[in-house]
Amino acid sequence: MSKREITVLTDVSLITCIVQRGVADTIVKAAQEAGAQGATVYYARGEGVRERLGILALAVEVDKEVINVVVAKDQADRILERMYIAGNLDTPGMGLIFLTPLEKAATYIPREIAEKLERDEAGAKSAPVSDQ
Amino acid sequence: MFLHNQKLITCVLPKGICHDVLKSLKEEKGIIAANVNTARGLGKLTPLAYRGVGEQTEKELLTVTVPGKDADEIFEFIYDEARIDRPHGGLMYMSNLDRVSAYSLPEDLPEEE
Repeated sequence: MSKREITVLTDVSLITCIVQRGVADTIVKAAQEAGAQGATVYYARGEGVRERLGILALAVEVDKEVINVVVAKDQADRILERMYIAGNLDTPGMGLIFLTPLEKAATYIPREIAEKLERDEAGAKSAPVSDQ
Repeated sequence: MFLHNQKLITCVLPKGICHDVLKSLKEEKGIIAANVNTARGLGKLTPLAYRGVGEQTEKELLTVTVPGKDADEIFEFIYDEARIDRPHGGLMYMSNLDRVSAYSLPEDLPEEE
């Protein structure tokens, strides 16, 4: 049973990007410039084709950084592309990026913003529908 | 072998909260299929950004798989337990899973101290 009402966000997607260690900050900066509010970064260890890439397989870092960015659906394509370009992900061995649809998300929403969202939603519902 | 209609709930929480949330999930909801990672959060609105110290804060990443029919209830439970609804309280989200393996622990496992 919920103790209070929760404002959930529904039109959101998760961008996940896996890159070599040390590259994440550049990609997060590009994401923020494209409109993302923030990112979460954690470390991982990558294995696979790395053994066949780079000079004696040493040029491709085994330590990885995983970047998670939650974005609005309408901004997702633009932010994804900017992150892709910033991380040079078209170069073999640089990493990968993918987009996952989210069912819902929740976070702290300041009262004035929640009220504005409610007003916008009410306005959209009461607006006359065009015949064209 | 595999469970269907499952959801993945992920929470990005300030450091130090996850253990209590995990404990509540186990004791009150019987959920043990959870994992905690440490991470760093970068954002325009982190507490340190206001003090001009930097824009990174230490975070914990909690991931929990839950049955689809209970997902909304557990989502709200975690929301309350983790106190997401406060400034810098973190973020949580839920996504669909195609298949999940069942997870259980031995019955005679001692409690963690």
